Amino acid sequence: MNINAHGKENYSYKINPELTGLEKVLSFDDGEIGGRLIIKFKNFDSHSTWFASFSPGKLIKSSSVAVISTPNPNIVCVFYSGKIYLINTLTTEKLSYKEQDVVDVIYDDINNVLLIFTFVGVSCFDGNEITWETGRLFLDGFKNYQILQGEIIIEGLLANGEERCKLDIRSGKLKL
Amino acid sequence: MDPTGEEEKEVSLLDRLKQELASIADDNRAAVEYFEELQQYANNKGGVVNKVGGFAAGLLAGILENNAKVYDPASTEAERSLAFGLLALDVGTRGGGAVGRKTVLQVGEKAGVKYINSARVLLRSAEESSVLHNFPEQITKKVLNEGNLQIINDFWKTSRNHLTNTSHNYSLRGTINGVDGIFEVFTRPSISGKVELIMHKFFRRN
Repeated sequence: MNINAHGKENYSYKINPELTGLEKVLSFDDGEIGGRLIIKFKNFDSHSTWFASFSPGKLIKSSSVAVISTPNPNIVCVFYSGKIYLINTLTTEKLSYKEQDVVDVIYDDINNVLLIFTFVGVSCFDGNEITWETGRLFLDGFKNYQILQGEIIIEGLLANGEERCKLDIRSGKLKL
Repeated sequence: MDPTGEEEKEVSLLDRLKQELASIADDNRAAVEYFEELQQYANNKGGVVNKVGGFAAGLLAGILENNAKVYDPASTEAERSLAFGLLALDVGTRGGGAVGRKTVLQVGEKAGVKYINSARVLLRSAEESSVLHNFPEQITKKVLNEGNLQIINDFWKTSRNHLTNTSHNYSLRGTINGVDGIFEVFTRPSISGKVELIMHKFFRRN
């Protein structure tokens, strides 16, 4: 997990800040049950400080937390127990993208993309939208991956029985 | 050479487990290969035999608890001791721990075919603690008995002794913690057809 990776952010944050009880906390919980994660954000452009509450994923119960930069300096990626949230710190809005069972997230500043790895596939966020998703690529996870010269080289048992593949980082298409 | 003798002692435990396995499995060849795969993993851990012993113990202990939670080599000494105790009980009683042993190796049997967990499946449940890779063995049996079967020839790209390259993909719709999805159990049949090695167990949400 690429914890607290930094790019060019227009915000600062603090995980589990001290609260007086008077703060208004925006909830991104989706009504799910579980220990809440509170993060305090401060956007440099709007000079606004605000608080957000997140719930963990339903099926992956761990305490892992990561706040990760994205290609958009106003958008932050919050990872909490297998679930990710893409939040615009300027507007305090959550992007509609909801990915569950996430096992790794990395901001690749060379290609300027956020790569999201689940147990079954990979998707790519370019700062505005999800540009590609692989669908079912792995059977139940991957061993490791590396990014080299515009390619994501992934090892693991793939859904087609192969044990290694290359993806074009721009299109997400399999390269033989 | 380990001056404490711990290494030899724990390797001996693995050997004894292997012998036990061979004695109880009807299809010795596939079962022994299964365990050799597990032992190969142990050897690849860089000779940290203590951890390997703990790993094997954890397999037994975890599955005895019926949640397939596998012992973490980085666990506390107390947890490691407990796992070793269970391992010793199972090996030492020659039958006293047969239920646990059978659960580890043989998940179920249907029409004369035995279903055995592969090292890959056990390792995945060790690496990933989520319920996605660790649903109870009763569900695995249900998937094998009642799930849809899709047969894919030449799925496996690397040949293995005594095993075919075919994949039997069993799947069954279900729910975990209120999340709908599909339970997947994929097996690799032996050439004899008497054994199917379970290569993949996963709950895939819709």
